[in-house]
Amino acid sequence: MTTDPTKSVPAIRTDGLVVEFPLRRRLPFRKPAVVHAVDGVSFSVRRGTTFGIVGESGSGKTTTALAIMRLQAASAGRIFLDGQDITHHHGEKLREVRKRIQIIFQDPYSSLNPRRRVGAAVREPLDLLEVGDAAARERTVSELFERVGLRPEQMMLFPHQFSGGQRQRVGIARALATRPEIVVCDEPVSALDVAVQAQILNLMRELKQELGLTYLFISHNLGVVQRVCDEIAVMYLGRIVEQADARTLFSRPRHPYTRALLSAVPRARESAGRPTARLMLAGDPPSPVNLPSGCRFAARCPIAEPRCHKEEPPLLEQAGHKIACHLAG
Amino acid sequence: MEPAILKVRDLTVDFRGTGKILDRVSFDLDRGQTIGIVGESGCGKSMMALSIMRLMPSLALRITGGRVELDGEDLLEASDQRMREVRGSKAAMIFQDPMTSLNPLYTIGDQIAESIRKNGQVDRREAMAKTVGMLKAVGIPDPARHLGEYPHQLSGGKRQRVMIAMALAGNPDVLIADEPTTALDVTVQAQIFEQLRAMQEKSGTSIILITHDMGAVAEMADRVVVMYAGRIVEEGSVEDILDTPRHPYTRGLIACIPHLSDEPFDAWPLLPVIPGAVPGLAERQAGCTFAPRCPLADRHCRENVPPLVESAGRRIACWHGDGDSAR
Repeated sequence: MTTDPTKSVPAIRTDGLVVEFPLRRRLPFRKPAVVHAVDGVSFSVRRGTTFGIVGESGSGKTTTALAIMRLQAASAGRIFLDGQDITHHHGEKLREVRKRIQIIFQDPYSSLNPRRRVGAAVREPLDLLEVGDAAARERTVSELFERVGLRPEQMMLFPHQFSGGQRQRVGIARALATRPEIVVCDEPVSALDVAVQAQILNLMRELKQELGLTYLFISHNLGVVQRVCDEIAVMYLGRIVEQADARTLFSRPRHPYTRALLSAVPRARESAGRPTARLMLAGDPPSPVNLPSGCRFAARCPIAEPRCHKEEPPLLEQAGHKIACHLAG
Repeated sequence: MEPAILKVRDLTVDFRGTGKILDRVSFDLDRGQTIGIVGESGCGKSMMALSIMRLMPSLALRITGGRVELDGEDLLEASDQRMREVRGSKAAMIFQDPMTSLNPLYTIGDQIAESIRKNGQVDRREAMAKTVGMLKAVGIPDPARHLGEYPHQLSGGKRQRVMIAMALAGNPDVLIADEPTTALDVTVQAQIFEQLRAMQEKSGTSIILITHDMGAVAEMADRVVVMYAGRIVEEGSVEDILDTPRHPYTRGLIACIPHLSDEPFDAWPLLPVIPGAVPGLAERQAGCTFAPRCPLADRHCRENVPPLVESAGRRIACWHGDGDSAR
């Protein structure tokens, strides 16, 4: 650990991050249509905290994560790791970055090679990034297995011999192999059985405390996000529409989209009656190919005014609470 | 009181003679009622639904006992021919993943019209007109435009609406919904639940909702059945189960799912867990199947299967179910 002049430098920072995917052109000599998956996203993640990104499918949360991992090229904008611009790193420098940021995927079934022993899968990042000698790598893997609650002899098994929860433990062990500082968690428990989710979340909590990890936590499960995150950004169609610390966001959401999202979650403790005044959203989010002018949420917004359809609201900060809405008071 | 539309009695399903996937499952479903079936994967929820529809996914699985009485008719005794009539017109089912249950090669208009024509003597044009009405009823805007589209052209929410439209086309008495919204976003889930409630109000359909989401249960169900390792371990009204769960499994299940809460969380709290996992068929031991994971289990629990005992409108299978921890 270095001493603390770096303390105020965020572990991760993005500045106007844009990721676009060109679509196949329908007509020759026309400009191909573009999917605006992430469209100008800026945020910073403080070291040692858990930063949550929530939103519906198609909001760009996973693409943001992949861009930060440098697994998806940014079309514009910049990504900083510890204050250092890594947007265009390649070769040896990129490998150094990869040691420091790792990722846990949603589905441990499809992110492990079914024909490789799981021990080899966990060792692979060490091999690729040439960390230590062979014996040291083997030792590290065995320690990792114990650390995530598996037995070292299970290194010799294949993925199908594990349950979903155990497989996610393997995925976590693999992410931790290079001793990263930052772990991107893309829906880490969404594919798991309900009772196993809590077990995995508790493991992630322990690891965070012990290893001082910083998590970028992506999920659509607001109940989970509420418990694990320190700060949360709500994304809609490639933009952050609201961002605040967890307590504020859940107790005083201000963007109509955040409010609708929260009120859509069924609550187990409301058994006495049917849901009261629910902010119901009609329809699906509009297509990220033909973005509406003005506020992206206007078409589904219960309080939209004419000007919302014309002017896009900027993300403005007020006492640490960021919000992009013309009408949120 | 009107008799229950669906009576399941001692339904037992056997896997290759090595064990029971379902073990004497009994419950009633009243007209217009919604019953929520909860439990982890591997507890037999979906198996029960498939058994009611007589859609066994494998020859290794056999219904070896019990009765499934739908509107007075025992479905387990019905001929295959009769079952084909029952499916769709009296009981229909929707599945978790609408993409895999829709035919990718037919337009959605054709698929819904097929189930309308199968269930009533109508010609093609009339069926198409009805299809438009069905799509409108499940909340698809501009339905005529969607008739000619293929499943892959629709969003997940619209696909699930199409499935619901197909299931309701035959105006069934009972709709079995197996995790209908698990693959969908919460905002879309809220819309689908709203739609299901509206349809139920209009046509008096009874719903079996299979889910692991206690929030969904709170919102949709009148009664709740909790299943563990092929057996019903607790049943009661939704208020009873959610407010005063008595079986340790039900309590664990409610506690370990991080629901959205009105209380703030400052730091990442340690979450309550149910240790271990649902035992596979071969691992099930004598006595209470939940005993290995149960905080209250004692020797008596490990040796004797607790009977499902009814009292005051709820049922529970636990030696410690009355709340005393020292038997």
